[in-house]
Amino acid sequence: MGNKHEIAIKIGGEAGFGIKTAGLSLARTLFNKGFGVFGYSEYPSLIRGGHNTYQINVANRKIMSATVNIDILVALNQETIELHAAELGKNSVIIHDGLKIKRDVKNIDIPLMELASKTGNELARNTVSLGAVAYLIGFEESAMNEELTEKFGTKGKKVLNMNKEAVRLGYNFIKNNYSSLISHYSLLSGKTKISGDKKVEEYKEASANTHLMTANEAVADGMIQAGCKLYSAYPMTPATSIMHILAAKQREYNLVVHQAEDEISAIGVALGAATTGVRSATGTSGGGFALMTENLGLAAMTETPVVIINSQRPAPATGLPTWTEQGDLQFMIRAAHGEFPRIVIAPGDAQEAYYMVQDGFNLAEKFQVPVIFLMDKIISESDFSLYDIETNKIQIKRKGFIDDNELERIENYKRYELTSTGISRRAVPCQVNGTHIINSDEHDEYGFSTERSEMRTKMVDKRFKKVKLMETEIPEPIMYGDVNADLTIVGWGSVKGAVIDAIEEYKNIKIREYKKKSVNFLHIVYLWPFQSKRVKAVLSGARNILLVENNKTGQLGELIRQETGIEIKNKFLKYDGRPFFREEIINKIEAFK
Amino acid sequence: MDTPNQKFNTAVSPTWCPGCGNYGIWQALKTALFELRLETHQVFISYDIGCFGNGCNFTKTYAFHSLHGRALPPAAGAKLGNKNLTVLALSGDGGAYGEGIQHLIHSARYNIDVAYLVANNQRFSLTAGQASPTTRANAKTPTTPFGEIKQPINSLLLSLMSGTTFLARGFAGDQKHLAEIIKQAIEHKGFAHIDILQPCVTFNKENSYEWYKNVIYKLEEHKYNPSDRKKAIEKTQEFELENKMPIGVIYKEDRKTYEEQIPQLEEESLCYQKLDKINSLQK
Repeated sequence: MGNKHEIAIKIGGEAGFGIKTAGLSLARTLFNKGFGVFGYSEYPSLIRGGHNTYQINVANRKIMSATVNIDILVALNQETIELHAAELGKNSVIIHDGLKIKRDVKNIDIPLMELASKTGNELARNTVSLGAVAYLIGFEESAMNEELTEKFGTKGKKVLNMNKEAVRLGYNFIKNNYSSLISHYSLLSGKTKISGDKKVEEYKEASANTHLMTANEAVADGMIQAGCKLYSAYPMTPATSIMHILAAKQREYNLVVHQAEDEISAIGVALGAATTGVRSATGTSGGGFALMTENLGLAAMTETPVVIINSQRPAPATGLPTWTEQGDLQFMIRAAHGEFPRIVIAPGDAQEAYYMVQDGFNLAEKFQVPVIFLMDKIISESDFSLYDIETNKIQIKRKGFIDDNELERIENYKRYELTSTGISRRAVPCQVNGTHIINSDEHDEYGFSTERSEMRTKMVDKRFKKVKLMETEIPEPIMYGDVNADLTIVGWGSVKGAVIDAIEEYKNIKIREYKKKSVNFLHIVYLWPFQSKRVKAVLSGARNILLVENNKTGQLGELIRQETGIEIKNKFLKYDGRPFFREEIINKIEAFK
Repeated sequence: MDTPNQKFNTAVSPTWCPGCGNYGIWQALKTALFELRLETHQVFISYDIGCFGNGCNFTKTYAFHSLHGRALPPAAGAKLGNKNLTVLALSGDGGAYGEGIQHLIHSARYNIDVAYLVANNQRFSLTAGQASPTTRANAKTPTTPFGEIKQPINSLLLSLMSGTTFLARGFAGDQKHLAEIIKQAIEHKGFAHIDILQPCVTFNKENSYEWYKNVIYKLEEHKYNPSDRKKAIEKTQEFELENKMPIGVIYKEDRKTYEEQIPQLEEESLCYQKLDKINSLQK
């Protein structure tokens, strides 16, 4: 068989077995060796007990999605075998420690517990299993050393050596007993690190600008890069790790992370800080966002820039806290009472999250509107391979402030001055001659409350005037693939990874040429204000359209119909809490007539 | 700018009912700011929605007219954003002790350096006189036509138990005394909460200026020591137990403020920090 272009490894067991820890160590090792990696975890809303998995798709090209099929299943308990048997193919192998294997499937019975005990730590069986996997995929025994040093180096030599020993024992056990299997799973061919793929040049050795990171990690770093100085939030899965990361980095980067008493206060604090000129943000999931909505309207009415992150999970109510869904799109576009402009951005992966959140801060400040940054669990918590990341790609553009000298010359400063663009300049507290009311009530140009009919109309129009300029500044949807295609897939946010990987893989499927369809993908990232013209132009020229969304009602489809009049009849919708897996999209493309 | 009114009045005249307790509180507030020699641009006031909150239009400072019950979070945010600001939050009893009571409890716990002035007239007055969390039992209002059956909240005791480091009660009918308390509250480093007794001449005929004058007395006339926490607890319960309402500073302690304990704020306020040369994504 030789080397494969891609393999999928899943580690499964009970929460508390160190599933994520082991999986991430392996993912990092693979990534640092120059492979494209996608790491996907599934876990219940529990701390102890319950079934956890971490799946690594690794390839000699960039990949951004998980597959249904698993090549190597590391089962740390019986449940893992029961739950994931259907994901195994005829060449798949299970690595386990004396478990019952019902099917006629290749398996490696390795005494993980016994070997772990030899290191003096029974809990290290997850690490022993990593040694076994390292051998199977054709790595040298020392392959994991760098990662182990990174992870355990600070915990003392004893701990580090114990973990290295655990890897060695697992590695040698396979080497001595199952060496014939290596040819099936090796990612390597001879001494060549990466081979057989035209996109190899994109993949480099680990360097300063490549990263394996989740979109939550990327968005946290993007916020730092954007000059966000205040993040005020309340914990809610799957947005919480953004707060963890920023809290850990706050002293290094001189920003303040405030854990508020609830989401209402979280956004209120962000708005208060924003009025002093500080770039401020808050983050939550749908339920917390629901609590923030009155303040979302306050941000709009007072024209206070703020970035609000919503990482979606299956809803309504508590829903499925640790799973994924794209159910909040229409809510984001309409949330809060009344009518006002806002910007909604939904990145499709960690790289987009890093750049676009920076753009989000610039847009919020320029237009003095709330910017909603819409993610979901699958991108918030999956590990993406990022290449060629430039920290200075998106420049901080400070806009919309009035300087001290000018303010002192002005007779009567108008915070809400009626201008041709709808944008008026902000004076911030402590600026002499700039006092005004940042007013929740409808107000006049100075900020004083007013109920006069003509001023009310003027102020609503003022706020909406900004939309015209927004539409010209907001990037257009991205088209992946040839413009002329038999099938155009349309989607937003996190479906990007599975769709792009599926299209790529479909191209390589061996079927008769005349049966082969060309497929492209329209990914709408800046969802509001809606890019009606561009979307209409693309879709009205499309031969066949397939809408792919991780929700029940096809919310982007509704939006497209509302904004362009185009109704997409073919919909591939999924709302079981799971993301789209690559094969599901491929099957859909194949079946499409 | 020789008087509090010249310095802190805007061009808009108050819209409160004649005889409203808000006039006294407003005057005391302006006097306090004036006597502390604060400039209009150095002061940030976050306002509740309600009769008292409408004062944002009449008072010349940087103002944030927020949402009902939500005056405290933006006040905290402004202080975190610019620590040089003198930050106050103004609320009515409905917003402070009903809708947004969690913000009182937690701001006290954080000990953020904000002075919280609560105008307490025992009614939701801007919505025309409904019972509020401080309405006395049996009071008849549009929402309690047969008499209020709930117990009123003891906001002072709650505040004290939550960690407020400066706790006081004032009376809208004694501007001079109230101005002194407001001054102390502003000067206090940490969370300062003043519950201000305030008649609503339109919707609360029972708790009039006369009614209050019969139950209140000034703590400082009784050699009271506000650093004694046990005594403070007693004072916050005096009305329930003895039908007396002490006014003045009930409790005061020195505790590090929230923002003082954040090293990122030591040198420069967030709003003045330079945004160039940021290098994220460091491994």
